[in-house]
Amino acid sequence: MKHGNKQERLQAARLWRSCRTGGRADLEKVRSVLRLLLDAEPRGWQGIVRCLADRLRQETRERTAAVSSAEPLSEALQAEVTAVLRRRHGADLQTAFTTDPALIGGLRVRVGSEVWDGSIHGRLAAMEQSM
Amino acid sequence: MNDILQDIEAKLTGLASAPQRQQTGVVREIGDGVVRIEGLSGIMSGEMLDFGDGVAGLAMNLDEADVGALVLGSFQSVREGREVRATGRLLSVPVGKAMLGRVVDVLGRPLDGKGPVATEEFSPIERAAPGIMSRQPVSEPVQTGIMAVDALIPIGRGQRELIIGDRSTGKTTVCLDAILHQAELNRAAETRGDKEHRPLYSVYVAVGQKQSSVARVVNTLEEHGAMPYTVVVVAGASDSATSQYLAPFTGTAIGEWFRDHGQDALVVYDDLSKHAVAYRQVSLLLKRPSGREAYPGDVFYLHSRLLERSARVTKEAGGGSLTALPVIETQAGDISAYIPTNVISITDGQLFLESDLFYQGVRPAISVGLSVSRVGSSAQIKAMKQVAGKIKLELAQYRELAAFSQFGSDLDAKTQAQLERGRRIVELFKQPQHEAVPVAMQVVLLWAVQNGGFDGVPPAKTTEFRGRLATWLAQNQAGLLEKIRQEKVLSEALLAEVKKAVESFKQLQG
Repeated sequence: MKHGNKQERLQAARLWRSCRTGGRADLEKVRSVLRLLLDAEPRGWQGIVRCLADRLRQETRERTAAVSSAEPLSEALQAEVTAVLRRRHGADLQTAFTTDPALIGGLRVRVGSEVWDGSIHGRLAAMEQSM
Repeated sequence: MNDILQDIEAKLTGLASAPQRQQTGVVREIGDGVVRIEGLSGIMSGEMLDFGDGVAGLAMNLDEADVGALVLGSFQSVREGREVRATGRLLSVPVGKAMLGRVVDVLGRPLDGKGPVATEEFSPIERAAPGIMSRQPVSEPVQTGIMAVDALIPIGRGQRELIIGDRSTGKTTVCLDAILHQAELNRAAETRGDKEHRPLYSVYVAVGQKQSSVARVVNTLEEHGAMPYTVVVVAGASDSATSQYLAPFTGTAIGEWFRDHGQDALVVYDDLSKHAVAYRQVSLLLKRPSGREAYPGDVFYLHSRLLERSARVTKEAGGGSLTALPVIETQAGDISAYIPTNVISITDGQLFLESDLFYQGVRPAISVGLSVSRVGSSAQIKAMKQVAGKIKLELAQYRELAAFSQFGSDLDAKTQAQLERGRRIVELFKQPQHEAVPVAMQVVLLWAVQNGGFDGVPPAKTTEFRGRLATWLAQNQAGLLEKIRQEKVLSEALLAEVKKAVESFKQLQG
């Protein structure tokens, strides 16, 4: 899972820190860093790029709320859910809606590693454990 | 019926009110019971993880982007991409009096087929040791029933005494004898209805041992009726290194319950060298930097934080005690190796068992010169102090003389007498396994050997003579023994009685 050697990881971490403003990644900066890296091709650039990609992927995951429901949500409902989530996690939060019939009913929201499970399936599983 | 329905209703309404908030992660890499998990950003160190299907894990390494964790138990069903949930709990095991008589695994799940453990209480396996203010000095003895130990290297309640020696020198036997004697004493006090007696419960932790050895230990405990006072925690040689690494902590958590509830417990870690090896494996798999002999840098802290939890605590802090008997196996008698020196420096003394002595027939093969108890005589009853005081010195003198006398043949009478007495003391301390000698009997025997009771008996016949004397005392002088046990000190009157008893036995023998 870990890419690059120690040196490359350290360099990637330094670059990543320089791409951040206000606790968030600045996509413009990331893009220009990548362009520079790909143009200059410094030693170990592949490892560094892979490490940066990992970080970007993680950042995206943390800034995207994956909302799954048993049935597709209506547009109005989707907007409402997005508004509620943005109020909680910041205005730049992206939302991705999926359907999963196994949930039976209710919603399951995942932001980063945090999961809010209000689905019937989750409640049944919780009840099974507490019994 | 109705209350069950109400219960279900209550549970359902409680569940419906709020969505479950959970920390989750995804397994990215797994091998040899060690997993790397992506996500789980808000997790605690030492937190229990849930892999689903009843597979639990333990978070060990908290890195920037991922978490290194250990799978507890079987890791065959854990695959890459599987979701892992944080439980918000530290790794805990069931504790309490209901654990007595049970054989459990590292998570406290029964292995003995006697059904679930009837306890509601749980305790985290990693806890801080009691501080300075909540400790009390060790002053009450643990009667092991082994004469050499009780007389020369006494162990007190709350002490940590290391049992160290080569393979098959009787380390486990010493521990087992101590456990068996505690059970004997507990049962005797129960039948007497003695409220004064503080029962001592035992926890036996088997780390990395052959299942057959563990079965033999459990069998011995059952045969001697010691199981009702004992908990056995097993992480066998075929269990994962994770289980072997955690088993001593489980045993300590179980023992701590007694300490914190005003009772006394004895915990045996058999053995900590295998524990260190298991921890080394886990650490290397987690890619922690290795140090001397490839052990991780915190292998000292691993054992010190474990053994520091054994203590005698004040009334405010619970008023109980936890005594630890860690076992270390040495290679070719080398007590200056890495792990042995570590544990020697942590403990309050050590019992060194020598294979040379063992093969000479001195069993238990305790090397009196190299064994010490740093708590010492404050953990002996007064009567024992009175008779055992000089023995260690006499033994040391005997060994010195014995080394000299190998060269010279003509010895004066005084030296010869000293040699003979020394030989007799060595013979006296030979003791078959699982045959404990009660403390009162020890006092009389030790008094006899120092005051001419064994004079005229050839050293080779000492063991036999001692056996006869012990049987005779138990049959005819039970009152005297009981008096010593209760008064705990040899007063003038009692001393006269002891003298009379020994003399009348000698007369009987002619």
